[in-house]
Amino acid sequence: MRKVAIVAYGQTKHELDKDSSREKMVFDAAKSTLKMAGLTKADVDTFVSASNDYHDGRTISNAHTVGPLGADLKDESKVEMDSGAFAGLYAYMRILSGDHDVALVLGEDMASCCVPYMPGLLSLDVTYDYPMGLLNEISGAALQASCYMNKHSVNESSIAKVSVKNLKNGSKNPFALRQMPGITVEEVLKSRMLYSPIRELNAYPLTDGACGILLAEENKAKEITDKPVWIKGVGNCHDTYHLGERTLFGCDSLKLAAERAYKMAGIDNPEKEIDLAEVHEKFSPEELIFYEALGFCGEGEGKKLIEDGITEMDGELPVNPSGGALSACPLCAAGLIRIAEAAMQIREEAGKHQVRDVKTALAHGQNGICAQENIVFILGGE
Amino acid sequence: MFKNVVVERTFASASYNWSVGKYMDRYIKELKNRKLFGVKCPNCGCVYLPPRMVCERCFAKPEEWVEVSEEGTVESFAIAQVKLDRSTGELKDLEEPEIIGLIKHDGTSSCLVHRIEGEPEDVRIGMRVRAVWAEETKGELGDVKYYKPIRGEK
Repeated sequence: MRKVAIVAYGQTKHELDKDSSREKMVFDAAKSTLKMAGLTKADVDTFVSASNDYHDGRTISNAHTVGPLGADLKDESKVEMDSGAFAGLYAYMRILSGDHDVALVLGEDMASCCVPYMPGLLSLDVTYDYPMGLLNEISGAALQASCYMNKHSVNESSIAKVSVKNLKNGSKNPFALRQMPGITVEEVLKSRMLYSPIRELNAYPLTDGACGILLAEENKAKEITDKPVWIKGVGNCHDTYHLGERTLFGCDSLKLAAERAYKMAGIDNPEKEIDLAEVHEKFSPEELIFYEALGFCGEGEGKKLIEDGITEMDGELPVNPSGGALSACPLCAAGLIRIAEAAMQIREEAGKHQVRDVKTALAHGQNGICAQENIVFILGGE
Repeated sequence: MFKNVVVERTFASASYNWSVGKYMDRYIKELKNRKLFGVKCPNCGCVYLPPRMVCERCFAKPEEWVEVSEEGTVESFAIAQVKLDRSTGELKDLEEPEIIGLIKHDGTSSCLVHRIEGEPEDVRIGMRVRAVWAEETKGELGDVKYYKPIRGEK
């Protein structure tokens, strides 16, 4: 099988009410990614983007961003309603096919364009949950959180600590939307309660932003950069649509996705072999659930990792040094940002949020209410 | 809203007509008779309420109709302090908090989301609840108004 590496990445500053147009936002992320690789659009064989027609307010939401992406008259495709990480998988597969050598992946979203939370509402079961009017992505996350927290005796302070860790990390990341360097557990616990136990600072912020990564097969990758970040493993899994049929105190689909990625990458003991993880936590309790699903600890032990500082930036297994999705979450880019950030860490280019000695990193993306669909990438340096 | 640039607003009004399917059709119509009907998978024996036309666990079609008890257990819950305004996306403060429950009816294998009436501080996972019917049932989802705790039981 061909070896494929991430050879460049680029992000926009993540904001809300970004004055730049969507086209400019896409252009900025694509251009900066190509610039980092020292390439032009002519050097790219295939393009895969992630966006959402509903968020955009236009059907075929990539139709008008093909040009700003650099993909006009090229081999190009779009993934609908993806965090960008599946776009990464499809670009990887295109290179594995042998038909293409260099692929540009881009995820973008502008929350300020559409009615907030409506895309999530319109993903509900129209025969029951939508007409009942109780479920949405935040109330769903609250049901998931309270199920998990009850099962494993997790208190509000532990989930607030996840927010504090990520928001503090985010303040070291110049691209992050929420810049809250002095955030405390007390402040998180005083933030507006939405659906208990989810408070405003336990939830992702509405975000405008874009992210790109460039993939290349082995020979090209080595020509482009002396720091290729190899894709060592990838796995994905989709759980049932119906919340009432899922195990809400865990995340079965993430567990299976991780097992597949670990198997491909030859990882037997993730807790020891993974140096850093970027997970797509849209709500802070999810991060604890994800620790367990990823095998970073045993079932019910997620809170220990946060209480003992294991996942802090200077801990044994740092999680989300970028600040995670709690710091910035353009919906169709947030998973791709995790991949870009993990690659950045391996290349030691993360500046103030750089973690030392990252050889193997994990990046995670999710889609759907209560993380219905999950994808895991294992990345490694030379 | 964008402050420094011109904002063009477009309205995309779209309404959709969904067939609820034959199983949900019967479920909704039976509500008028104050009955809750689920379906049972012939393979794994799981009972789904509301009924599903596919048992995803077995990739099989449940065929057998089962009348389900009005009583069940709270598997999870959330206290809503806000209501999501569907036209603006705004999270509006509620005057009185609303209890959203994930409820598993006795004998079923799936949960449904519904409202629980009661004091938020008294709600517990594992609490027993019973469906409360509207005074006049019409054969619509609103016929089950909410769930109330069954007193004397934990």
